[in-house]
Amino acid sequence: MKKSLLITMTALVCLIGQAWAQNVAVTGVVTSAEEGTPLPGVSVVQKGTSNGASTDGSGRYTISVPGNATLVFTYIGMATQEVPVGNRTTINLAMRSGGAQQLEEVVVTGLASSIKRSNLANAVATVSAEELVGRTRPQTVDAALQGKVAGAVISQNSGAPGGGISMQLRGVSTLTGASQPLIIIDGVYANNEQLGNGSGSPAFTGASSTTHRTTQDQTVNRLSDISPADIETIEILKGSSAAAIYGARANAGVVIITTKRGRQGRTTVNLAQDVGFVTATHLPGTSNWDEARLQAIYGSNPARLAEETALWQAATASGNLHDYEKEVFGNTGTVYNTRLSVSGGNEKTKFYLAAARNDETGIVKRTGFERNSIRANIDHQISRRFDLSLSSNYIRSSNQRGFTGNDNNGIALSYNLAYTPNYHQLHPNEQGIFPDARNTGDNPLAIVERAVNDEQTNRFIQAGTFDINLINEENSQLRFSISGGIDYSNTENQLYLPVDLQSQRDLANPGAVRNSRSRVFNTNLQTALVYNYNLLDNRFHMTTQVGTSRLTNETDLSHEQGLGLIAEQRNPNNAQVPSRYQRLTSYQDVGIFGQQEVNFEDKIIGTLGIRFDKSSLLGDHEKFYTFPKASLAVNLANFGFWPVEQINQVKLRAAYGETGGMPVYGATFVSFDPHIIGGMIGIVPTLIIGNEAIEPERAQELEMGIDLGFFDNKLTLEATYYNKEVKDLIGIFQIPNSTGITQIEAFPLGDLRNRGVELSLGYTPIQTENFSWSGSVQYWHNRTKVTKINVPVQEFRTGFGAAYGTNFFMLGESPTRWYGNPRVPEHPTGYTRYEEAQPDFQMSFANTLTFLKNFDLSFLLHWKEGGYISNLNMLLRDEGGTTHDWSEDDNGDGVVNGEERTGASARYRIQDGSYLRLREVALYYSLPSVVRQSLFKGYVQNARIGVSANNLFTVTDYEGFDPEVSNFGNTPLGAQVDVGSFPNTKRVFFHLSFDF
Amino acid sequence: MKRIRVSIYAACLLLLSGTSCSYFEVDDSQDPNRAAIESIQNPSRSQINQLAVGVVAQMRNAYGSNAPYNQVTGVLGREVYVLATNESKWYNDLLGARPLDDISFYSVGAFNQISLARRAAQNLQEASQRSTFLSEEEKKGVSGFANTVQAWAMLHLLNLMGENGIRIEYGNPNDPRNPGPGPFVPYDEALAEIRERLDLAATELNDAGTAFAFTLPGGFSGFNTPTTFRQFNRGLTARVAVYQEDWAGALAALNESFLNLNAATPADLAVGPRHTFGAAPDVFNYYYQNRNANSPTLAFVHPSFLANAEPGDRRVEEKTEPRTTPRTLGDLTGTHDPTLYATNTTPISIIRNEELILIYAEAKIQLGQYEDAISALNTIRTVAGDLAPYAGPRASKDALINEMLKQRQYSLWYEGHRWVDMRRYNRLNQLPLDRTGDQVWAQLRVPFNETAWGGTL
Repeated sequence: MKKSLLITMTALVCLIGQAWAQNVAVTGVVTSAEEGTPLPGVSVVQKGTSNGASTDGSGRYTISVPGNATLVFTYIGMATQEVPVGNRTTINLAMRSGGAQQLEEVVVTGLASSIKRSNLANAVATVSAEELVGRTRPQTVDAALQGKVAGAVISQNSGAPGGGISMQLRGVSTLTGASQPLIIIDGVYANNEQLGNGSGSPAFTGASSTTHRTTQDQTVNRLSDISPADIETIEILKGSSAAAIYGARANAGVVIITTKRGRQGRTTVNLAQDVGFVTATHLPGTSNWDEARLQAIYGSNPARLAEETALWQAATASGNLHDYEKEVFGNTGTVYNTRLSVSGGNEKTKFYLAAARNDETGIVKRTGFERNSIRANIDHQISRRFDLSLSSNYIRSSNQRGFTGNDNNGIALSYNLAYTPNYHQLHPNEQGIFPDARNTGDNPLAIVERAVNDEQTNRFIQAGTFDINLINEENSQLRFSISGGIDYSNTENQLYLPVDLQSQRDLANPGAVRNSRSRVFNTNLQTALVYNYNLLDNRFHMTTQVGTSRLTNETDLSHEQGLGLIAEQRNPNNAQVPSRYQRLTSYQDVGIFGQQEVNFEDKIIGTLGIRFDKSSLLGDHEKFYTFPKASLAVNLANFGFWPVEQINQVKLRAAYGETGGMPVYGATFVSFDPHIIGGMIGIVPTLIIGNEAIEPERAQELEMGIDLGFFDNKLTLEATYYNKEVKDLIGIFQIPNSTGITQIEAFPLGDLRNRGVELSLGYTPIQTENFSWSGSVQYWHNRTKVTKINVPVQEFRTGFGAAYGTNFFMLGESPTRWYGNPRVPEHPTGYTRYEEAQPDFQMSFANTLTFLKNFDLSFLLHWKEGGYISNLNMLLRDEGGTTHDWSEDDNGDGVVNGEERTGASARYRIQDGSYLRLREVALYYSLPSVVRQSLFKGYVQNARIGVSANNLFTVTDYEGFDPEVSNFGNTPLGAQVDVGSFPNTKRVFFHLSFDF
Repeated sequence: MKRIRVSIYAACLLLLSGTSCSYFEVDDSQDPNRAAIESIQNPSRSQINQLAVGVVAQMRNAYGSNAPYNQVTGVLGREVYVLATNESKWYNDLLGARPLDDISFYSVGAFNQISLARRAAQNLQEASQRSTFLSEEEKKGVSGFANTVQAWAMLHLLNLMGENGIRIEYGNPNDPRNPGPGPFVPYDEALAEIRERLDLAATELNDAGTAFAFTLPGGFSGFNTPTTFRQFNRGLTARVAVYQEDWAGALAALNESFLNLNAATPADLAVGPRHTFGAAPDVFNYYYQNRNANSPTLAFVHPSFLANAEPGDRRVEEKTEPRTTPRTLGDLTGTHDPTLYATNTTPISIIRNEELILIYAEAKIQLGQYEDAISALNTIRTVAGDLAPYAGPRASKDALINEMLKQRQYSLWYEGHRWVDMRRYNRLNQLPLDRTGDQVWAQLRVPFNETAWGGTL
């Protein structure tokens, strides 16, 4: 391998065509046409070459180009302009805001190179800082992407403070594990794990029988640590054709996050403050009881019926009816966000320093989320040959999420509120003692007040790149780049149920505490050689890159637990039954890649690439797996023959690529569990074994599209169709029990296919000094189907079984489709077929209006059609008699809803999760310079005030808190299960921002 | 060009310098959290010991699970009710009010754990063959031990599956796909295979020297050398022989077992290997339940066990206690708690002298040697039951078979025998039905995963 690399490189470097022309030095100032202010950081490039410069803090640039060249000015958010030099030495330019689609921006496509969007053969979604958090302030980076990326299903798992978001790009690509896209922050392979804390374990909510960490712990994913304000752009490589160069980890797509960096020129200081208020998006409410309902719920036990009737009568007579849901979830949380950034630099050194603090309280008392982040991004040019850039980020984030989700012990709030009638009395007496709940294991108000579920994370992310410009000629540049990074995070949790809680008192060992730690350490190191050169009279621009990459991960998940506590004592050591647990994991991946781009005068752009990957997670750790890619883009409008001037861009594009998916850690292991008998320790094989021959699953995607630009890109359309085939999907395989093995943890179960369409329409119909309007409409859908099955029909043990909705792996069907009771013996699954958990389609509408010079109004409307949810919440409420419409009779058959819906059929649980949601709306006012001058003299360059909202309203038929929900967190199957969820929230903000 | 050439060299050097050897290496991972299969490629003596202890531990686990063997067979054989407030299948499906299915807890609970015990034994056996640290004699000892446990496990699977039969070849214990498990074979063929395996084990134990290469847990005290363990093996063989109706073979096996016909005290009857229990990190007896407990899943004495008992039978007094509050579920009422295990650390007997005496009696009846049989039955009646000696007809085979089955019912109650005994004497129709619509199942259904693989008769 090394030898062939060497030969390739030598050959490439020798292929040098040179051309030469008389250069002139051009200088000028670039300003904003709307505001008249200088624009720092505008890219000025000689057309058709990589010769370029950028403007400094006062908008000034200098570039040396041939007198007959054309300069291309690009800036994110502005329409790109091309200006022929015509032997001038001064060219000043006023740039205008561009449409929603920034066709001239640059997109990262190789591991060490980028390409202009207009030459791109894939539909890569790019979300700018302005789009991400320019309107309002979603809690986390992933929440801020909702509705902004065609082809993505981004859904909140829980409304608890700190989020918990799953992102699925172009359908289901894997069946096991978390299946989240690879997240790369400034080149660091970042930890986005959703690590449990054990809150769902038997000692706490008992949602799961697993004693350590469970899939029902309702925890955050670690992307929540990243301060959205630090982000310059997010690029999303949605499918294999775009992500192939990332190889065996890219089946679920790649999210490339680039943080802000300093620019040459004046030092700018930005100080911004948000104050916000958080409330539940929707609380279904409860309803008053009557004799018929008492009879229905308690009638089977006459003694109990008499007691409950008496309580109901007493409470009704004295007016002691309580809406406990509102008491628990109806509070208003507050958000304070403060950000300070300082950026600037000179020719050699540029810096961006930022500090941000987010501090919010939740809608449930004693819950909250806090994030403190400091960042230093430094770029330094050591000499003409050597460039260095560093990005450092330290984060301390914490959350208090309380207990929600599934429950078997009476701890989780929503679950137990469902069984609490409004005539029961749960409030504490004068001494603060809470009465026992009659229907549930514990009193939800006592849990709010006294139970603890806290998490605190210290995280350090460091990225660095060292570039050596080996050749820096007019027509050939050879760059050697070493980049790497580490991501170290240590999360500490405490779960605590005091000894005198109702749920604890009768236990053999009352009181429970668990202190857990999750240490995750990722490293990555990449080397690459990138060679840019021109051939045949500069008509062909070539970019060649080869490189290697190495990733490592080490994880230590451990806890100490104590059951049977001393009152008020939280040290597990002092417990009657202390226990501990530790799980260590470690893996390494190595990749080798090469890519060749050929650009013929921006008319025809072709790319070929290949990646070889091996990993310690696979059965054969020495075997390299190959992931090829190829793409072609043809810009018809750039050819001389193109007749229609109004259509400035017509790009036909096609791309093919392959990526891999890894088995979960440990899927190759066949191991023994310890068992103690009579004071001796023995080892016993396990019922579930790994597969020592497992290979990566492989996605093969063909993407085709057309991009059109009309009237200088005032109207743009990007249309994409993709067909992604995933081969040898890794899944759990159930085998004959009599072998002493019930499951093989990782087995190639079969193939599936995702097909979909993504459409983006961008428009800038009006652009005048006093009024401008721009916006975009996006539409996307995906269809998943199993195309091959290597094993008998498999039931995924997802969800809560056939009465509530379960999923099957079956030929010709989607693995996310719901099945359930009643039984249908002739169907291969044995059950009734219900709807799909994936949406039929999604659309979003974004619009920005600028008026009266200084006002900006923008909004984002998000429509999800379809996507069915297994709703156990309503069942719990119907069983408890607490549903808001319990006594109504929707279908008029004489049986009230509350009784009818507790029937055995899963039809009552599988519910439509469609919604139309105003994701974001904002109004900002920039102080005019006159006002600014009179208020702050010359000290303030820019001042903005605004008001915005997130999730302000939602239209849905879904019968629950919110149609965005997942009891099992970030899982590809059985995600949309709603049981005792934490309500989703809407957030309203006031903003203040100053640039100094 | 010179500069370019220099640059090329520099470039290559740099690229490769970043790629020193370890950069391209990835670990050949082993499980860092549990004992990995790789670690027993050439097992040391202490690893053999831990594997053997594990085999015993898993044999014990086979009585556990969410569908404990003695409870499932106890319900099927009308020895107990299991009245579970959160699981009606215990008293609907298993009592025949609803059809059995092939994927419920009762289909796979005990089945999985017993199968795992068999695999653990197979794994130990194969590991010992690879070990360079054991003598040939010691390998024989491991093999004799492992084959005995495998036969024990197969017998228990066969008891559940009845005429459905079982698989007798299982493939590689750590990779069942290559070669896959063999086909199901019918009941008689499976019994013959089990018998053959026990006989093979007995031969191996004969050649295994004076001590095992491993130490068995305390429950095997008295049965922890090749010679004494062989007595346990022969006891099991006698049980299989009567299932096969090989009466002479049963007596021959008993002859080499720990049968003691002169038992004079209950302790003499209790002799035999057992599974012990203890507080964490050990486990408590799966069948122990607190008196008058009110937890969701509880076993209760089947009324027929109380009603049909001879007055004063000590076994009934010892094994049952009336409850202060009966539980009624599904029109069934549990009035008595099983107190077979007095405490949560009371051992579970694997096979004991009491059963061997009953096997002796059965073989003698079948061979027409009634007086020997009566003498053995009287030992059980007087020592175990504190009853008067047998007073029925002394030359009636039918009467003696009835008596023998009844003594087996009371001596081996709630230990997995009644249902199997009535089945092998074609008397399932004599088991009492509690409700109209109930029926007695002759066997459990073959688990779904077995049939999905293409594995039924």
